[in-house]
Amino acid sequence: MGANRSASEVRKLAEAPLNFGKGSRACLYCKLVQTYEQFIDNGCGNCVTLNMKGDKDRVSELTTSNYSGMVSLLDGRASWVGKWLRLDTCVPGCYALSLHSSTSIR
Amino acid sequence: MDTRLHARMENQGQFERMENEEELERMIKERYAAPRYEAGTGQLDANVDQQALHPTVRDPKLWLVTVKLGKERETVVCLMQKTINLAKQGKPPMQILSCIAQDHLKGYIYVEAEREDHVRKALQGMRHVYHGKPVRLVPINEMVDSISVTTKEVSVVKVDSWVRMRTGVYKGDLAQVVDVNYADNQCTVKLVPRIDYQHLADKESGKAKGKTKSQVRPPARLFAEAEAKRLNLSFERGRYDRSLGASVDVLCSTTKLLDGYHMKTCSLATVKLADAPTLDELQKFAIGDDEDGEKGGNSSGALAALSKAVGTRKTDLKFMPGDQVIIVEGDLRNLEGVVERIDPDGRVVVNPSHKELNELLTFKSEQLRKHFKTGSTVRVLHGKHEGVVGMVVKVERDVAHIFSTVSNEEFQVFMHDLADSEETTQRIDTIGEYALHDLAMLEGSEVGCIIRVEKDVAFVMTNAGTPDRPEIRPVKLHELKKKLLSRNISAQDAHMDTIDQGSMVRIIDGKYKDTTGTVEHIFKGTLWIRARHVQEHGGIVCIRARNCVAHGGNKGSQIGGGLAAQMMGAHGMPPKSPGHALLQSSYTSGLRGDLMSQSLQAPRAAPPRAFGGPGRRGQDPLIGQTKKVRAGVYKGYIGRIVDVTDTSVRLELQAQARTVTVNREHLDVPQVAPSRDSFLAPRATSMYDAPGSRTPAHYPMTPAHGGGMTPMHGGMTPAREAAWNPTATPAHIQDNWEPTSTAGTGWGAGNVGYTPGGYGDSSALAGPTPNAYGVGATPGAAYGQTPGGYGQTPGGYEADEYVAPPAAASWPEDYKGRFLPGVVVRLTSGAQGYITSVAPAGSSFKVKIGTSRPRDGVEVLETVPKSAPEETVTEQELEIVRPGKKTSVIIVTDSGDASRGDTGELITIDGVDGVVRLSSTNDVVLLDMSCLARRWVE
Repeated sequence: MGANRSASEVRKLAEAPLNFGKGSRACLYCKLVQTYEQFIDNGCGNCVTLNMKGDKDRVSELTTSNYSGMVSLLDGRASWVGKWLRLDTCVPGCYALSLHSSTSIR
Repeated sequence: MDTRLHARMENQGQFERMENEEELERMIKERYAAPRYEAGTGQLDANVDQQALHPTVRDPKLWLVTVKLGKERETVVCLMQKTINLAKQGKPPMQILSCIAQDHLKGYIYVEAEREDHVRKALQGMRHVYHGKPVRLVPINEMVDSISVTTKEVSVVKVDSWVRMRTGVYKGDLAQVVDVNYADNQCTVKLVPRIDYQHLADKESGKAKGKTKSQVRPPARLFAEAEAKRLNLSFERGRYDRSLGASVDVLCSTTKLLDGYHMKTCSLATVKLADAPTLDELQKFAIGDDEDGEKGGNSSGALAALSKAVGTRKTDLKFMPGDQVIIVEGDLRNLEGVVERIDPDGRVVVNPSHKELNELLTFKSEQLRKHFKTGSTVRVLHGKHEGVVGMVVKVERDVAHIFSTVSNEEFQVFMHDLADSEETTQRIDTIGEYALHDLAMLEGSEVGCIIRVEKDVAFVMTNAGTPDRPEIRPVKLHELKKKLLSRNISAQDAHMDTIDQGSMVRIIDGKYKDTTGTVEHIFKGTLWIRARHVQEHGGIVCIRARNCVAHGGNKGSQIGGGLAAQMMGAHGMPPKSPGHALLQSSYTSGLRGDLMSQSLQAPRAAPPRAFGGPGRRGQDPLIGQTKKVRAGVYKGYIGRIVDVTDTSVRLELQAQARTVTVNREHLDVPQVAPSRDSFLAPRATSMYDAPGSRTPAHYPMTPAHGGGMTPMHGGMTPAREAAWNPTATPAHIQDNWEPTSTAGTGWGAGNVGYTPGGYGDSSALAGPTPNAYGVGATPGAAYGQTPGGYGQTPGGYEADEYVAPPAAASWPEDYKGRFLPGVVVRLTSGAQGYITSVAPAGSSFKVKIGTSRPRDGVEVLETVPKSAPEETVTEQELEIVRPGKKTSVIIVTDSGDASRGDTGELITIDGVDGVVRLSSTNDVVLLDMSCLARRWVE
C-alpha cells in the first residue's frame, strides 16, 4: 500500500467538496475532503492505489465523516501549512485538519 | 497521530522506491544516528521532523480574517473552488497558499500568504467575508497552535456497547448497540420502548393532526401487543430486517420491535457511550429477555451475560487491600488471591491463595477482577444498594447475590461494586448523629426507630404503626429532631410487669403472635422490638407494650443495676447496693409465694423481682387507687397511689410523667393509725417499699394499668428504707420518710438536731416556723400540726373514706367500663342523674337521679337534690350523656393525652373532637367526644 504520486498527478487538482458539512468525508490516508459521491466518481486525488473510484464499499471503508477543521491547500509546496501538515506533496484541494476516527489506523 | 500516520505512509512510499538494500541501510542509519530526544516514545523520528518544520521568518505568514459566523468552512471551500476556476480559465492563480478553518474558532479563518495585500486580493468578491474588518497577522510563535487540533481521546461506539440516548423521547435512556454503520454514521440500538400507543392510534386514524403530542413522556416498558391490538394499531409480524439479520415485528410500519424491545436506528451523534450503567438499568434488559418466552433461561444468567457485555471499565477497577481477586488475564488466569497493597503506580500486589505460590505477585489492575467467595461479608460501593453490608450467597460470573444483614433482603450486584466489609472506609449506617436502630423524635411529636439508612435518607418505623400495619417513613436528616434514649424508661406488659430496654418479650397477639424479641426502645408504652425471626424491616417490630409479655430474662437487671439506674433517673437518689436488694428479695419471696402462684399467668422464674408490693398490698388497700391531691404543691393532681407510709404516699401522677411524694393528709385518704403497728414491723426489717421502678414513662396509662392491679405488682421495689435515710435514727423509724420536695429536704438538712415527730410534717405546704415545729414533738401530734390535716379539714378523712366524692373518681379496680362515678347518665326511663358508686366488677351502679330540663333541644341535668333518690341499675340501663360546651367532663376511656378518670372542662366541641382543659395540668387537649362524659359538679 502507499500513494504513488508522479509529478503529473501533483499538478492535478482535487475537486473542492460540494458539501462541506455532514455530507463530506475525509480520506483516511491523506485527509482529502470530498463528498461520498465525489469519492465514488473521482476517487481520491492522492491515494489512487486505494481504488476507491467507483467502489462504494471501499469509499465507505476508507473515508470518514468524523474529522475536524478544514484546510484549502492551494499551493502545497510553497505553503508552510502544507509542510507542517505534511500535505506538501498532495494535490491542491481541501483537506481535513485532523481525523477523529480511530479506524484510520491500519 | 495524523502527522505520524502520514509520515509512515510517505516512508512506505520511499521504501518501495528503494530497491537497493544498501540504500535502505544507509537511510536507516542516517535516521537513527540522530540523538534521541525523547527516549522510549517511539515517535522520535516524526517529532524531530516536525520540530524542523516550525515556521521561520522565511515562511509565509498566517493572517486572521473575519468571516460570517458559521460560514468558515464554506469560505475555505469557496477559496479552493475559486482557485480551481481560475486554473480552468487559465488565469494566474491567487497568491495565497492555503486557508484554514478551525472548527472551534467561530467567525475567523486563517489565510496563508506572504503579504496582506495578497490576502485582500484573494478575498475580493468573496461572500461571507467581512471586508471592512482588518486582516490581522498571526505572530510566528502562534502559528503552530493556530493550525493544530487537540484531539481528545474519542471512544468509539461499537456493537454491544452500552450507550445513552442524547435526544428525543428516549433521552438519557440506556440502550445497547446492536449494529453500527460507521459509513452512514448510523447505529441500531436496542431500547426499552417508550411507546405512546394512544398517540400512534391517533396518528393512524388521522386524528393526530390537531392534537399536540402529550407532554408526558411515556413510561419505558416492553412492548405490549395487547395494548397495540386494543387500539387497533397496524402490526406486522416477522418481517426480515437485513441490517439486524433477524425477523422483527413492525408497529405502525415505523417502529421495529424485537422481543419487545425497540430496535431504533439512529445517528451515531444521538448516542453517547454510557459511563457506568447500573445493574438496575441492565436488569431491565435482562428481565425483559426472561419475559419473552425464554422461560428456561434464568434472569441471572442473562445478567451475567450482560455483565460480560459491559466489560471491564478502567475507571471501575479500584481495588483495596483485602479485596479478594481473581486473575483474568495472562498465564496465571483463574488464580485467586487477596490484594495486599496498591502501589503508587496503580499496580496491584496480590497475595495468591495457592499453596505453592508464596510470593507476592504484582499485576496491572486490568488483569484482575474482584472475586468474592460465597459466604464472605461484603459491602456495596455503588448503585442502589450503596452502603449495604451483606453476605455473598451466590456467585454467577461477575454478579454476586448478596443477602443483606440489615434489611434481610437478597439482591444482586456486580462484583466490582463490592468491597470487603472489613475494610469499611465508610459504611452507611448512620445519618448525621443518628445510627441504625436509634430512636429519634420526628416532627409533630412522633417518634420512630431508624430501621434502614440510605445515602441521605433514613427509614423510620414510627410509633403510629402496629405490627400488622407498620408505619415506615423515609425522613431526611433535618426531619429528625433529637435522639431519644430508652435506657431509663420502662413500660408495662399485659401483666403489668415492667419491661425495660433489653428485656426479652413475647408478643401475645397479632401477626407476630408468640414471636420473641429484645426490646430495643421504649417510648410512652410503645416498644420497638428486635425479633430475630422477623424478616421485614430489619427485624424491628413496633408494638404496644400491653400486647407483650415480658420474659423472665430481664429479672437480673431488674434487681441489680437496672433498678439502680431507674431509681437514679426517677428520683435522683443514690442507689442501694444490689446485695441489699437481694437480701430483701429473699425475705419477701416466701411471703409472696402463694400469691404469685395464683396470680401469674406468665411462667416466672425465681428470683422474684418485685419486692413488697404484693405482700404489702394486702395490708394497704390504698395502693393502686387513683386519688386526687387536695392540698399542697400538688393540689389538684390526680395520681395512682403506688406506695403508702403512715404519713405520706407515693403518687404516680397522671398528668405528669413522674411519681411524687405527697403528704397523706393532702389526699382524700384516711389515716391509718390503727394499722401503724403492722407497718412498723416490716420497716424495722428494711421492708419498705417505694416505687423505685416507677418511671416517668407511664404518662399515658393503659386501662389495665389504671385499675387492674394484679397482686404481683412489678413496679414495686424497695427504694427507701430506714437505715438508708441519713437523717433518721433507728429510734424514729416512723419518720424515715424524706419528702422529695425541695423545701422539705432543705429544711431537713438544715436542722440536724431536729426532733423526731415534727419531721413528718409537710413542710413545703405548712412552711412551719421553728416554733410551730417544736410544738409537734410527738409523732402523734404531728398530724394535727399540719394545716389541712385531718383534724382541721372540714369533713376530714373519716368521712371521705366511705363516701367518695364524685370528683375524685374512685371505682373498683376490676371495673374497666366507662360509667365512672360522677358521670352524668341517662336511664332507660329518660331520667338523668349521676353515678355515685360502682359495685365491684361493674355489676351494678348507684345513680342519683336529678331533674333535667330541655335546653337547646337537649335534655340537660340541672339539679340533683341532696335528698334525691338513688337507684341501683345495671350497665345496660345506662347511657352516657354527651357533654355540652363549657361543662365539666370526665374522661371515661383512655386516649392519647388523658387517661380514664381525668377530669376537665370541655371548652368547645369541634366535630367529633372535644377541646378539653384538663383540671390536673391545665393543659388543653383534643379528645374524641366518645371518650368524654359529663361530670356532675355540685
